[in-house]
Amino acid sequence: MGYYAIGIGGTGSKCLESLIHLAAAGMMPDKKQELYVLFVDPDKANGSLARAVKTLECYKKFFNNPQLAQPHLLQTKIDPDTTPIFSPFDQGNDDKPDLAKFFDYAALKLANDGAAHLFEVLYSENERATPLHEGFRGHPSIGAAVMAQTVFEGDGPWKTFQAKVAKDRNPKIFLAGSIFGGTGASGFPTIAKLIKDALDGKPIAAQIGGALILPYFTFNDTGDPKQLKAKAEHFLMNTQAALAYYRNKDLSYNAIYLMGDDSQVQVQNFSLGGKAQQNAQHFIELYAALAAIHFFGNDGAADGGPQYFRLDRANEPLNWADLPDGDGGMTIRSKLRSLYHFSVAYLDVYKPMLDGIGRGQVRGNDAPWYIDFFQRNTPNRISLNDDKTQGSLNDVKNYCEDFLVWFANVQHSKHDNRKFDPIDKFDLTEVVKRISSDTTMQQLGAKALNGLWRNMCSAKGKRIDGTDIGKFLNDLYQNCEKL
Amino acid sequence: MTFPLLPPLKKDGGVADLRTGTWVEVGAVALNNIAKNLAVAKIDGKFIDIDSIPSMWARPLLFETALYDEAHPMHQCVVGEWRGLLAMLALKEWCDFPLTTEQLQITDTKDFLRALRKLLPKGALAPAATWETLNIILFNGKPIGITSPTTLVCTAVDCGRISGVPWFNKGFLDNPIPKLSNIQKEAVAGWLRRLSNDALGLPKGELKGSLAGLLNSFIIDLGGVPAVPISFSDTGLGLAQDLFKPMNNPVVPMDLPSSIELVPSPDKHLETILLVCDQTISEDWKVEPQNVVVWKSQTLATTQSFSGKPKLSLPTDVHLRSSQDFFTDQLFVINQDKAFDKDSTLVSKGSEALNFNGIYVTPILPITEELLTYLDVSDLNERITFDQQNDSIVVKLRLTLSGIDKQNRDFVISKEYDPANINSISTGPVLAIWPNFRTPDWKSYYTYFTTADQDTFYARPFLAAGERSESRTFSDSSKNVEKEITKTKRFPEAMLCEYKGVKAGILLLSVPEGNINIDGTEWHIGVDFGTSSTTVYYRKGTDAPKEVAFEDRLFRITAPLINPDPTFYDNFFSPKSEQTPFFSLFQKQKLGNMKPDEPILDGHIYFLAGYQELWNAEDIVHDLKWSTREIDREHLKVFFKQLCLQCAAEAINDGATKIHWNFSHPLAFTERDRGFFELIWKDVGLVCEGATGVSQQVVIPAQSESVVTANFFANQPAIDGFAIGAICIDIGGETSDISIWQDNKLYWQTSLRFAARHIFLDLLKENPEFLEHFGVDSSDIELLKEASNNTFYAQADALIHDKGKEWLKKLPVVGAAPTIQPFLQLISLGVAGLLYYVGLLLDYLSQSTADFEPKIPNIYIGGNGCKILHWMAAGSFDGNAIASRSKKHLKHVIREASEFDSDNNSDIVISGSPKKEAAYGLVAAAKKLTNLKKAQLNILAGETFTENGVDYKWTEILTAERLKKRLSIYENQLEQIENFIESFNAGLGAEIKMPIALNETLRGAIFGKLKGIFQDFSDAEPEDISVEPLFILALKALLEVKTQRWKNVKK
Repeated sequence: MGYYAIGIGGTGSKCLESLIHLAAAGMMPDKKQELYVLFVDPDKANGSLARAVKTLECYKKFFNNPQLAQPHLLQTKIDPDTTPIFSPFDQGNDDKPDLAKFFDYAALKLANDGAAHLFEVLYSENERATPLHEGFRGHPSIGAAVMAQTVFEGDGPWKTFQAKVAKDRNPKIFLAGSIFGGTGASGFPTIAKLIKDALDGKPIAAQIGGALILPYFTFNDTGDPKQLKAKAEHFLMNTQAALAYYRNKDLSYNAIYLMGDDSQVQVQNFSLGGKAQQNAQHFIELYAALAAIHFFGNDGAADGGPQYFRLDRANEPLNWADLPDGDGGMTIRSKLRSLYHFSVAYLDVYKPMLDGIGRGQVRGNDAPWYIDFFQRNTPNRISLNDDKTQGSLNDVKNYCEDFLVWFANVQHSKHDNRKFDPIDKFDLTEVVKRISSDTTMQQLGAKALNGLWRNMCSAKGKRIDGTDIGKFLNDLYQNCEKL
Repeated sequence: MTFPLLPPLKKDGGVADLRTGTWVEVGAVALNNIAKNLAVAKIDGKFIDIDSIPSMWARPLLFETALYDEAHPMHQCVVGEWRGLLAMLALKEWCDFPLTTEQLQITDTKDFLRALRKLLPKGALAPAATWETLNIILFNGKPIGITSPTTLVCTAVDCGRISGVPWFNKGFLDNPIPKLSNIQKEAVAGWLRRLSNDALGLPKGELKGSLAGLLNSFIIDLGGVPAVPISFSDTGLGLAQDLFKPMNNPVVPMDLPSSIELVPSPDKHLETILLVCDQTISEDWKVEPQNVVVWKSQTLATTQSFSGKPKLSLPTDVHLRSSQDFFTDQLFVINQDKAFDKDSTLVSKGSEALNFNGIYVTPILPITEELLTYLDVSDLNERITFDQQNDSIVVKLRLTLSGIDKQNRDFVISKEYDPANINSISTGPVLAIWPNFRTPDWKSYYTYFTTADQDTFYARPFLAAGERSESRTFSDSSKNVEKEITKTKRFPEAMLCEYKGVKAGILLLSVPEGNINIDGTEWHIGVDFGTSSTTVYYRKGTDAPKEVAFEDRLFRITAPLINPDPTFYDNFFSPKSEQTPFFSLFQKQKLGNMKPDEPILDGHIYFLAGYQELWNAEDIVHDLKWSTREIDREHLKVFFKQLCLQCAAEAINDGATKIHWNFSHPLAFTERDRGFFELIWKDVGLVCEGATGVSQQVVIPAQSESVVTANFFANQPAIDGFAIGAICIDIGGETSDISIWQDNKLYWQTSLRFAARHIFLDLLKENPEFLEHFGVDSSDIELLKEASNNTFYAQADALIHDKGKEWLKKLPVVGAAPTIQPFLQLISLGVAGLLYYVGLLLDYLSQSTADFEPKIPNIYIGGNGCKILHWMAAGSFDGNAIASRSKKHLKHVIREASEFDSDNNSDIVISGSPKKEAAYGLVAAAKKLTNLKKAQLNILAGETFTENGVDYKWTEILTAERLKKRLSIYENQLEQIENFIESFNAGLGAEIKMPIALNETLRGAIFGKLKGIFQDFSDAEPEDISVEPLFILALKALLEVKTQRWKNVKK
């Protein structure tokens, strides 16, 4: 059994970003199972996709670095090695494809073909002619047409996916996408159907689950109203129509998780797509990741249509108890807090100290844990100025920074006056200031840091499996779990 | 309290609370619950851009969902579209919707179809219905929808290609009911009932129940199924599948009376129908557009068009116009206040107070000509209003249309002309119609247009359908019309105007009433067509003859720049009243190779505005009477036709219904000439009758000028017949016509080609400088000198007409001067010679006629040439001493010629109405004069001669046949000429102390000329020979020689 997560569109990517961080924190049901991720987006320059891919890259660098090996942090292996992004337009040479070109409408029209007339009945001129390299512009009917024509066609990520699944007798495939946009809305039902069709007749007991993200943000659009694009004011209406469609549709899912948010947080900078489309992470994506974890840990309905799951919160603002980890929020609170403390401590205290020692600005003796982990207990002293060591320490730093930005944004994804407040004592102000300009995090108290320091100084490099740096990271992480 | 992890929901909470903090399975129904409870803002369905269905079939799927789900935000919108498309199919023929269908199979043959096939929907109203076979519904060949197995029809994502469908609005089909008339509602309901019955009779499908409800509610909303069954067209749309077959045949349209048919003026009986289409009619009449029938089943609602007017299949006799079709694109104004004659043109309300660019202007009505077919001009004018609105001018036109329920209704259309669309023209053209009256039978109206070299607009008469006109058009090198004369059979009601090729509108004319009081009287008209001038008299019943005066009968549309405008003289009828006599001049039109036939169009009588005008006049034909050229004979016909037209116009205005034409001809005419003239008059009479509606009778044969002149004198109260005898001489321009009477009986009549030209004008022709003594401008003299042989006489006549009286007044002062005397000698010689010949006639009659008494009666001299006698008598032949002596000397000459013993105290009387005698005499009552026809024309030789070697006396009667033989002078002796000169020298010659010396040189010169004349006679055919007395021929030769000498002496 393997875990397969497919993020469709910008929201789907962000759900996978959350899932990767939860995997880092050790939230996967079976840490031994590989997680195979695949991003689907016609807009490869999409900022949300880029950030999720960066998270994936940070995770994989950390995970795959032998110098950083240890038994507690980042225990889930994530496949594949190559960047797993599928764009329906990968096969073509057109840098600005549109629906008309995609189906050679001009030739149909020239032949005065009835198909051309049907094309015009089903798609407006605007829909036919709008360039799609930045996505399906909130029009899933366009995306459905393109997806139906391209998924599982030719070489690419779907080939790899198909080959991987073919070896897996019980693959658990989870798709995430928004119902109200373009790419996610079109891909969510279509890709599930295509996967099911592809697996049809094969001896594979696949389970397909999905997080169907209902509206949870909005934006102001001051652009050309005639331009084909997603319109925030139509999100709820589109959702309503789509839900009615799903109700009557023979969907290919075993389980569908529904979620959205009534606060409809405002996205700062609206963009049609591309790099500028990089919406801040939102706790709904954390819920989607938790839905995936729930699905990976449980089987959905076997036949007769999907099981539908949704969730109510008890608190406003959101509280840890509202997170569905099967433990009243305790597990996720604990795991995220540990990773959070680890990241802050590493970035704020230990990495700077190691850098100071390496540059000779700080004496090693001033940091007993350094002597223990890097000099005394090691057969071979680790040179902090060694490129490899520096690279490894930076891999940790990069992931921690990525995690903290994600976490800070998740924490702030509600309105400012309705922050959910999951973690006490730590002050991310300086960290976030460095990496995300966020100034609202509470201070990490000196008392807590002092306690951690003392614990690290007394850890003395316990004998565990792992590399020297891995042992240091392992101890730091385990001590953070105790905070 | 729990907080659902969902988007904003409605406050009433239709979504169930769950256990918190954990995933709870909720079942598929949760989708509906969430959907229904989402806090969706209410938006007009038309403005909803829902595209959230992840399928290529999103459009029909959304259509289906929204159609059947009353809570769906697009439900109302989709129901409207669904009903709208069904109504279009039902009323395809009724409203002439350009609907067709084409069938399409969803196969794997093309990428697009293959992708569609992968995502093919499954639901259907009937089990047999399938998504794999679709019918695409096309409007004007463009797709607007498809047939749908779940909803019967489904509109396209974008229906913007639809036009002219009243329930299509802003890109969407609407519920059609508000746009249908009651009869259309019944038609659609009947069509739906059949659809409902047939479709619902199919095997049960999953959506059939919902469809039945929708169809029934549609029928109910339409008012229910009609009591009378409707008919279905045999022509189907090509929908073959069982589910769609009931939609295949549209309703057969009904014929309804049009509401927008223009109601013509009462006196207009038309074969065509004009429909006035304007979308604002319904608003103006406060009725729904669907209740305004355009044509048959088409209403204002079903014929909406974005291109001005709908495209309808109309019979050829039905014309459809939009309201703006009745206005010209631009308004043209004349930069003058009241630029058009107020009595001739109709003035529209508000048109007299218009201002453009700061000055008062007169507009051309910016109305297109078509309305003139349907509305008479007065009616049309009453319907037009001008309204000044700052710099703009608004023109309104009230039309009466057939209306609704047989009640006519007015509809006012208007057009605003802003300054950019107003063109000012500095002045109007010369524009006039002749005549200025109308009768039921008058069928010759002439319209004259000329720019008069101004930058102005062009105008021509409006012609009704089938009406023909004949025009002569003269354009400049740029093909702009400079001058045009048009003949129509009806009095033009309006003028159509253009400016530099752009239609400029119309001028409405005050058409004359046509209420001339016809009392049935008959006019007897006498026409004396003279060489130099023409005189016309008429008589009614037993009244005394009166001169015919040609009244100014121009119907002037534009005010003339110059009054009278000279352009009329050169191109049209005279612009003022003309009295007779008038000059026998004709002005040709430039016709190229075309034969002249139509008066005015091909040329016209040239009425002389002043003698100097003739100098500059072009294309004048002078010698109409005597020219034998074929083209001049045609000109003559045209001359007479105009003469008759103008006479008829005067007769009609005097109440006459019949005209008797009387004309005369000189006996000097050849037989051929006489025959020709009679033919011309017959032809002209017929043409004139057709053109004027006045019955015409041409009195044939024509009378001789000598007789009709005598009749004039005989009718003078002081004379009262010729019981005691009379000699009448009409000295015309070319001939002198003589008649001799005793006891009211005509004994002799003759016509001599020896008259004013020979006696008087030829002298001036040879020696124009002579006129310097009478104060004639040297420039005029130069022009006379330069004049050709033909034009000289006309110009001299014109000059004398203008200045003759003035010269005669000067004669007593200058007459005795040595420079004048030779001239007087010559004219005296001519007059005396004429009377000498008269004396020879008396002698001959006394010798040859038993009952003819040898006495000299009173001599009455008329004709224009009689004025020469005033010249002989120092200005006046009546009363003064010189006159008495002149009479005495002339009578002496007669007595010498006649060899009578005394002159019998006879008198020589000069006519008091020179030149009018013949015309008067033609129509005056006959005064017991007899033997008119018996007195045959005989030409007395008057001089001895030799014919074929045989000598003859002067008493021989000459004929053409004799002249054809080579004559000669007997032994070089001119017996009578010599006698005449002797008698002249004894009287007149002695009086002026200038006797004639007939020496050998003079004699030789005379012989030489006679020899040449005899040769010409010999060379000519007899019928072409105008027989002249030998005495007169010798006299003319004498005068020519003497004149030549006088001229040479002067030099």
